[in-house]
Amino acid sequence: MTPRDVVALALWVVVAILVIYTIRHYIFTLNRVFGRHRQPYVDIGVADWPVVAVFVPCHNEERVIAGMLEALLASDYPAHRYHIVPIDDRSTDRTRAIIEDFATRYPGRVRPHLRDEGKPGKAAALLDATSRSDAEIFLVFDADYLPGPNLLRQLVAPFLDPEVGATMGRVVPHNLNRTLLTRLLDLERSGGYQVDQQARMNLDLIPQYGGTVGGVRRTALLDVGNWDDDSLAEDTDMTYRLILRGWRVVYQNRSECYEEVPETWPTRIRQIQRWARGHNQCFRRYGFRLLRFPSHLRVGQVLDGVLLLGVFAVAPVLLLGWALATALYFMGYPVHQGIIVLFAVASYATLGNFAAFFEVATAARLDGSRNRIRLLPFLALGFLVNLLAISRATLSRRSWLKVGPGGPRWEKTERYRPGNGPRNGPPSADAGGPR
Amino acid sequence: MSEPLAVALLLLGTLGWVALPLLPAVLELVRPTDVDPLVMVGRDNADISRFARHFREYAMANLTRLPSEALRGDYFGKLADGTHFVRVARLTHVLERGALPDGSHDRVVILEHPTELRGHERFRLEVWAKAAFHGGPAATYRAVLGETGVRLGARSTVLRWVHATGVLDVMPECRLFGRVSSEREIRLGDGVEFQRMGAPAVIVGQGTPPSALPAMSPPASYAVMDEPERSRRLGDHLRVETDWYLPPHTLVEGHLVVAGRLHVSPGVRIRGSVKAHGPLEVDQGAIIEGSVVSRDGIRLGAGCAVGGPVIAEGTIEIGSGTSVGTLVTPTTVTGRRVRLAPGVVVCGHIVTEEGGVTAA
Repeated sequence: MTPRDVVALALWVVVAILVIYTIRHYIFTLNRVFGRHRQPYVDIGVADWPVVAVFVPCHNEERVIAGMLEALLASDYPAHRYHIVPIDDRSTDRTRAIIEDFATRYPGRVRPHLRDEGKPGKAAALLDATSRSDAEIFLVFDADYLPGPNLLRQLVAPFLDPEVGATMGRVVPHNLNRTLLTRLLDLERSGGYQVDQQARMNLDLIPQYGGTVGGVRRTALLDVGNWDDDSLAEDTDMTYRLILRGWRVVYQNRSECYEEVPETWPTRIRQIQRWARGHNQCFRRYGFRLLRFPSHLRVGQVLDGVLLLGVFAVAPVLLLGWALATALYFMGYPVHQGIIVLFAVASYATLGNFAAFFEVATAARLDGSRNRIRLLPFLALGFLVNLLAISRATLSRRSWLKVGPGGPRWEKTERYRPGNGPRNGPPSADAGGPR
Repeated sequence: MSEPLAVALLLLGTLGWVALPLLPAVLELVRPTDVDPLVMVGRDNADISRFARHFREYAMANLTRLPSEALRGDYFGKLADGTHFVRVARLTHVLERGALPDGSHDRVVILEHPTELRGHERFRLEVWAKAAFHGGPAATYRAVLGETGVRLGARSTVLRWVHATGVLDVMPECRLFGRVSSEREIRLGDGVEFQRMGAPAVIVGQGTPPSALPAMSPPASYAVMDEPERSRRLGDHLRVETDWYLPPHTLVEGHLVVAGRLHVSPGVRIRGSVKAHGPLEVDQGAIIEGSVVSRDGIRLGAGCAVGGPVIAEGTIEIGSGTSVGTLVTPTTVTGRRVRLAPGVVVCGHIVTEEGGVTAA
């Protein structure tokens, strides 16, 4: 076998991977266009609601924490059945003072958990708080989120099904009018939730618990060994441990919650690199365990699980494909033999045409959005940045090796909301009727 | 034309051609027209009486702006927003005066006193009954708000919603599109079609809403459940990987999840929730204290009692004399289709995707 044949073979592998992801995208999008929308728990309005603890991990969140706590206190979930646990982990700003003020004003309803020692990081904070709570369900929100009044009830409803281990709601950006980036992220989020997550739910595959706007059942959490404080992505890690054990994760597209998306490219790059490293760590931990095809999982669920784990590894694979195709060209590989053309089509269909246009456009249409769809061509810019940032993170040591002695640390996304008051900017959650 | 100019024009033309598809994107970026956050579903479908409440608020706000003569006696007029209305305070036949040639009514109708209609009326706008309202047979309503009891005559149709502060009595063969609610009780005749209902008690025919689940018999009177071979404990539930059958009078402690079909025999008591990925059949007299969930359909036999929600992605059939929820702990029945036999009592909500029916 000549070096040229080796390079050609490697390119065939790259093409195969890209084609698989392309097919996956098509299945998801066509399912959302033509398939049945599956949301069996969303209409549960009355029930004997379980006791819920709402965790809000915080590290220097003075700009947003008050708005978050006010939103949670306005929930229509029975007041005697839920309490809020702001977990302050070594904040150096006014976060702790704000939390303590709320605890004084709402005794019993706001029960802070203040950390000054132990491992830093979200997973460690959650682990600590979980061990001190006797609630049946733990809901988790990041501090910059703004839940509507009915969200807690909607997120808890799936837990009335004894098989459900975790639930996940939909994240909706509210600061999309700030920059081109926020508008692109709004489109990406639409595609990710309205199409990807809901299609997984429709097809009974593996919807992902996303670590915020979601929750976990206490018994399920303990059954899979609690939060892993060594995990770089405690949400993906939890999803796979639950699935491998036999629990279900439920996604509810109608359980929407506003979030603040990054407004600057450096913040966005740090965020997506953090996600990539965490995801790749889970790939290393659970990819091969999934490929043993546990008897309680269907083949489709296993394949979806593996592809979801590998989603951040596709970026460097695509870059590798470009390098291999270029090398082949200069090695005199005849273009008309097809592989280079096939690669070009596959890479275009995977990260270009399809992801950027079809999936996002479908999501925007399902959302009833109109003119924002015109920004689709700019998504090419976002994908290019993502491609490089994810590739760099994926090729870093932290993605694949065990977490170092320092363990995970707080890697926070910058907040932009001005001031500390109640809701700044987002429209009322009650503003709209059913879509 | 000189060669450099031709090249420059060609270049410009090509760039323009390439940039053309980007024009809408650039315009939207420079002059945003769709930049508001996605509007969330603030009040979801679980709030069954929402439309009725909103109508009451709307009507009251509009009526208070009218001159005082509009609030005394029979009156034809316009609400502050221009909507025509008729206020019937004394004589029901006033309604006929305001009817269109085809006999229908295109005004909001406000009934101040107890009213009994003859039937076959068609109300294109809302009816607001401030006292007892008895509709005649085969009437068609857009929506009805009753501040006390409401009775819908046989074969009547409600297009959007009906809400009663008191008892809502629905005669046989009515068709209730949209939301149906009462703050006290809904009584349904035979052959009533519905979509979503909510009340402290929804009763088909005759029945009494329970305030608690039936007491448990002495444990010795139950058989102990044999755990099947292909099963394992998972947190707080037992997961069975095959179809499963619970023999009569078995006691199940905790939750049960079955990856196939599940048949629950008569007299079984499950002290937790139960889920089947396949069809779930519950025989006569079984008691399930928690939820009943199926990825397929659920059939609850006669005389069963369920404490928690009944959730199915297929059809739910509930047999005669079965109760779901209690007055103290109301709950929800939600499925693609729901079929209720006479004597069924549901305390809480019934929500269907494609419709439900009461039938013998």
